[in-house]
Amino acid sequence: MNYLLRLMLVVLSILPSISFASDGARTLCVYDPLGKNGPVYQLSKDYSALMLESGFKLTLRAYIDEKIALDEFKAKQCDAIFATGNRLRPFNRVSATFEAMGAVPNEKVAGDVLKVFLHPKVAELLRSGEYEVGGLLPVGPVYLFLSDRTKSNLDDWSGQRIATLDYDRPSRALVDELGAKLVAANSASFAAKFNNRSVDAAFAPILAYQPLDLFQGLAEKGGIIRYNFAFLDFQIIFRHARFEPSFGGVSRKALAGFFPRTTESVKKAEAQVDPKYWITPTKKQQELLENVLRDVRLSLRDKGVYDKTMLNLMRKVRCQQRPEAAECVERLE
Amino acid sequence: MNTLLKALVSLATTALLSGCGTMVYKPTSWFVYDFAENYALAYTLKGNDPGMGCAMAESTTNLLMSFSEVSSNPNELAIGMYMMSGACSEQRAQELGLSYLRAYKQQNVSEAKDIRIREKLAYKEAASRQYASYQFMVDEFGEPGGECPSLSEDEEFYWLLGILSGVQAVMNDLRAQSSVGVPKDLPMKAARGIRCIDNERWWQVPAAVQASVNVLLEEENNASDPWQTLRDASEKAAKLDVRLAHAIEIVVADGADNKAYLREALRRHAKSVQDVPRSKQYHMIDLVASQQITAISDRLWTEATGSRTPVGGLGTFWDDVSTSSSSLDVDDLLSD
Repeated sequence: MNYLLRLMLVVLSILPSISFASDGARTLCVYDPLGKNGPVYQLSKDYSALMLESGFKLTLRAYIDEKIALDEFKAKQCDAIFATGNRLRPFNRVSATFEAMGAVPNEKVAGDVLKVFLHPKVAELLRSGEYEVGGLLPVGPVYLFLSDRTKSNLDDWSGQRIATLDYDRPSRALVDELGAKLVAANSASFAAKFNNRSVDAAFAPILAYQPLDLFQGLAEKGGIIRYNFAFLDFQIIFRHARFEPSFGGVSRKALAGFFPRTTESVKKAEAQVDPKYWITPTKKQQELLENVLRDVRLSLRDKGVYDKTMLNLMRKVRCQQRPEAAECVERLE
Repeated sequence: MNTLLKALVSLATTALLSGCGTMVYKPTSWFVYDFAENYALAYTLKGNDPGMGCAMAESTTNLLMSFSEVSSNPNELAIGMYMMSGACSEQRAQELGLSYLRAYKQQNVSEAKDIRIREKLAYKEAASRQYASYQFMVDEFGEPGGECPSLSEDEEFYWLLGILSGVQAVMNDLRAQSSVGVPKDLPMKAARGIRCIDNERWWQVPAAVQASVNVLLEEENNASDPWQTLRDASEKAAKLDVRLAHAIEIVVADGADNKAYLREALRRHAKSVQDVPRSKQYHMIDLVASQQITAISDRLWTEATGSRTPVGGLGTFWDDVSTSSSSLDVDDLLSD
């Protein structure tokens, strides 16, 4: 009897995977500010074609409102979601740490950290509760856009109004740390606020410069601090029970394969920026910024927002590239 | 005498074969431009065969443009020709998109991958041609987005075509993995530039473009719901004989995956085409708008059923519930 019960349990546990084989596509909800006509959705089509090679069939749904995409994912209307890392932060602390303030200073570090994410030993860290990370795609640095380029030093930002993603705890923490005034915005509204001068500054990926007309806000006096405050990324999170166990690994590898494409887009976007807008911080300013951002990371690590192991690993990757940096001696992360 | 004649003929031939040939070609170019713009293009716009318009544009654009080597650029003509040629490539890309969906559904991996590449290449061609159309518009009237140029009614028409070509170029370039490199700030410039032309005269297109931008940017200062503004423009356009605003509305609703709105808009367009005959002067523009709309309907049908919109089925859907209220009782008929 006991044997029979165990046998039944085994059969029941196998059943879902049998149903995967016979069942059709799973739904991937994709956030793209331009919807089906946008670059993220188009990339998702290429990703889904790659996944088909491994036998995973996906039906894509486009969302121009990221919050609605997230709500539908939570409400189980989507089996997986492809959206910005900061929106998906609550689902996995390890992958959320990729966007930690100042933790990824350039593409090389982004690529190396991405390799870490693909390592089988990290796979178990990418599963949390009923969710798993189906991939991470870095899409470029986040810069600070200023309406007045004369206020380009850290000391100048105190009291400045900065458009901030109000749902993003690290962004709020950084604005607090800088002593600036937080003006709540979302990924659609921050540009309008910057362009109509409701704010003095805004954090934005360079990919937004042309499509969102940010040069209007920069006008004659503005500038862009060429310093990576964070590295924007898109992630896939999926409900583990809705996919075969191998899906996560295959998906993470497939999505990472698009990194060269996004890097190329960033290069093209940077080339479009009028050179007069670039402000390269002095070495001293860079060090000050590094310290401020590290303080924010440590504080958020202690509050449980960032993952300790991941921060440590990212520091090691940075130190491989720049062993002379102070953080490589201090080893606070 | 004979020697003199020979010398004259020889001189004339040399002159023709050398730089003086432009004396002949230049006036020819003026004639060709004038004829093409005032008659050939106008005739094509009245036409009811998009396939023939497409073939004409693809086969004659280079010939017409070759006269720019000896004369000025026929900018207005080029706006129209490159826009039409771009529409040909776009249509081929859309067809490939349907084939891709079928290959994907059948899990025919190599076929799906190859079609996806061909689809992108076709979109690349479309974007490149449409961007050329936009650039000729910029060459003629200046960059949109700043101060409005002074435009005659005819020029407003080319301004409209150029702006729409530019927006299509950006969208198709995104579908082509940004391989053409159409500037991404073009849609915002276009949205500002379209305000330079009369909304009523140009079939509610400026209002539809403006509402579309608001839908995508969720501009906070909007007092009204941008979807409602889009619907208002579309409902006004439904009473007109050129329904370009419908194509814009449906492309935006499809992009946003707003399924309920999309179906309603498709039904609205189909009903309008039944109720209001197409414009005589701009017959082709209205037909191309319907063609764009049908392409989206075809994709929806193919996603759901594997095949495109049935003939005469635009505005209907595979899961429509029959509204027949026949009270025929078959049981009653069968009983003796």
